[in-house]
Amino acid sequence: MQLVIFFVLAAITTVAGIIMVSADNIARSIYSHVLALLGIAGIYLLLYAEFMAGVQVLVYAGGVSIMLLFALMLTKPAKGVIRALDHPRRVPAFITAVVLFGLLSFSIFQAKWPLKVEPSRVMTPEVIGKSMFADYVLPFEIVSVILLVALIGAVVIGVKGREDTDDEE
Amino acid sequence: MEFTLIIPEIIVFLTATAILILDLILQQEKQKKLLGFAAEAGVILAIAQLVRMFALGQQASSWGLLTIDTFGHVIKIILLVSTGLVILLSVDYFKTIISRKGEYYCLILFSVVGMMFMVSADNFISFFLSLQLTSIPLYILSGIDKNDARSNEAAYKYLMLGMLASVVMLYGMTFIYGFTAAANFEGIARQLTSLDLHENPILLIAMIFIFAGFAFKVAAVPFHFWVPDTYEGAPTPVTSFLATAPKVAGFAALIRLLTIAFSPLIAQWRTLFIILSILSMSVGNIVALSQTNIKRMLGFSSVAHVGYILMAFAIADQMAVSAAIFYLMIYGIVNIGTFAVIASVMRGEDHQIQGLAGLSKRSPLMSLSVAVFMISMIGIPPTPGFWGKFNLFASVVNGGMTWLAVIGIINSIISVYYYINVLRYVYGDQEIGNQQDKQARRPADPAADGLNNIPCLMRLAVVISLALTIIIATYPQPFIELAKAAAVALKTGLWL
Amino acid sequence: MIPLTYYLIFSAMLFCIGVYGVLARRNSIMILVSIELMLNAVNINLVAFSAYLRGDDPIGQMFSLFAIAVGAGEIGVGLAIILNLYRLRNTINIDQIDFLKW
Repeated sequence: MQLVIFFVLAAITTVAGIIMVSADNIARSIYSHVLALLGIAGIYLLLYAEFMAGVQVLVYAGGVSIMLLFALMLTKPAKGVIRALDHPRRVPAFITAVVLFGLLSFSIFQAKWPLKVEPSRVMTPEVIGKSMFADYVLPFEIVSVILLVALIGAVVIGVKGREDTDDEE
Repeated sequence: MEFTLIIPEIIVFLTATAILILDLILQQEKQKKLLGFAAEAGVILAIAQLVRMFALGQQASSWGLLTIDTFGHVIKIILLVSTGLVILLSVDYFKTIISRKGEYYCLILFSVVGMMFMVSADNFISFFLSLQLTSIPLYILSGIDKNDARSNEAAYKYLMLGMLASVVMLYGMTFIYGFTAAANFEGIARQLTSLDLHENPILLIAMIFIFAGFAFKVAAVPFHFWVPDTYEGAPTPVTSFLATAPKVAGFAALIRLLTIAFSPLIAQWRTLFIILSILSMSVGNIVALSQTNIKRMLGFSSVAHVGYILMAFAIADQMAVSAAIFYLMIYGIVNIGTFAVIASVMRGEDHQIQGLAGLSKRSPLMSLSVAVFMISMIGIPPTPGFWGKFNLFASVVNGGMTWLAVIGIINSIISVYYYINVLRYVYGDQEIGNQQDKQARRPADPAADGLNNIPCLMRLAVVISLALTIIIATYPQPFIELAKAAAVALKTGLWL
Repeated sequence: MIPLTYYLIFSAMLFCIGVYGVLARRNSIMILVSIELMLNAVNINLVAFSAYLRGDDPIGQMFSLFAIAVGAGEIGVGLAIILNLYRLRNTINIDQIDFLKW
């Protein structure tokens, strides 16, 4: 039963991914990206990682996608639908991607992974939280600084027209 | 919790936050210079603390996901000295070009904090996150001149390729984690010793992905494509920062990764680095020959220097690693010096090599500095560049790969041409005669009135770089010993 | 039960779809989105390993959380740079962004 759910989710996500990279209408591309992200959230649920699934929906499907749509709207051409115009490099890109996938899947099958049969069910937010704030506080703090820097960067580069508030040269 | 171990990082971090707050308080333009001085003060304080910790000679200690040892101390001192020079250079450079000086200094300092953590990281998690903390401010800094299309393009290319490299590297890390069930370097090494690479090709692929990320960061071929555009487009002080600090930090982290985590796989990655080294040396030197923009030329020259350093990784014994660290020291100072001269002399111009024509008549100090730096980069005695290259080649020969050293020497000979080319303009008799050259030298920024008025702080930056270069040239031994102490301090199974 | 390799192959597939997107797409925002897809593939890898490895290790999931946060931050900065790019040149097609020659 779980296997069926997995294949359904995997199929949806993969198809959404393919539409995302090849759609000509860019807005449609972003919508299918959102669908792919939701599919991945479903996969996390299959792995009993509920917290991850929640974060995925909140941050990615909810936040980042909206941000992308905004950016898309702000950078569109004067009129008409936003077209992708991808023609020149499609074939070499496709070949590269396929070759890479072949290499990776061959190696993945070959390897002897040291693992269990069933995914563990103990990764509750409590376990993650305890681990994060006990052993891994430093990475947590580094991430907070990274987010501060990203905020500064977005303001410094993205916000328009602050130069005219300089009063003297 | 031993917070005292990371006091230098905390100092730099607090300075960065203080600058952000000060920026809000100081509204007037004139007072903004204070921010630069505050940044400089923070850096000097951190260097002092590091020297103290180094002198105390503590044993390596683990805290959080870091290993604080002498290796880290030495590298961090190199990083902070470079940063100090860059800040000195920036204070007057940006007088009119950008308006957000507070953010500029705090981004540099945050990036340095990231680098300092990266150098001490002994776990994939802390390493990856500190790598991001290093890189993201650099992306922003490359594009900080918002209205310059080239600066923006530099940031764009750097960010796109940088994100790609990070993701690829992370992918490789996940497979190593999956195999070894550990993210910390020592745990990984323990697990890897019992695994066979031939049965599990995924490990090799994972390793290649991880090295691809590194090669991007330090700009080794074939992952160097961002370098010419980003070096050319970013404001010159930012370029000087980019060309030195991330490379030093990246190499240091790589040394730690290779000697501790990947030490069981040494036979495999030595070959990879031979390839990377030869490619970087050759491509860097050959393409540099044809460049007319001096920042692009220096970009390719730095790719070549990375190639020389990678030779040490092909050997990876203690002698080679200490040679690499020593070379990084020299490389950092000489490069910043060169960029300092360019920033002083060519503010707001188009940065063509011809723009340097007749520099000897206009400013003897700058010309002398350029001459010393160019000769050091070639590696002619008695400059420190010679000692650096000599050490490197000696360690390569000692490791049994004389042919690799020969390739390095041939490449150094090739590099003579483009370094001397610069000096040809500087000391040559070609006055800027024709209209075309005069056009190229017309400042894009009217307030930067070219050579007549080099701000004293920028001159100071050049003088300090020149002085350090001459000091290392005359007394290389203490610095070589320093590099050796750093290499010895690494607790690796390779030479314990 | 679902073997671990299925998850790994799935994530490899998403990774390679992302690679195709990065190489083939001309619009800058689309390239960013493809990189994001690759990042998601990596996260699946991490979470799957974390679930299936002996020893009940939360490291994978935690690493994944950090990676999500950092990825979101990077995309924020990337979009700011792209917006500035658009402001200066009125296009975000990477074939047309070539003031700095190769």
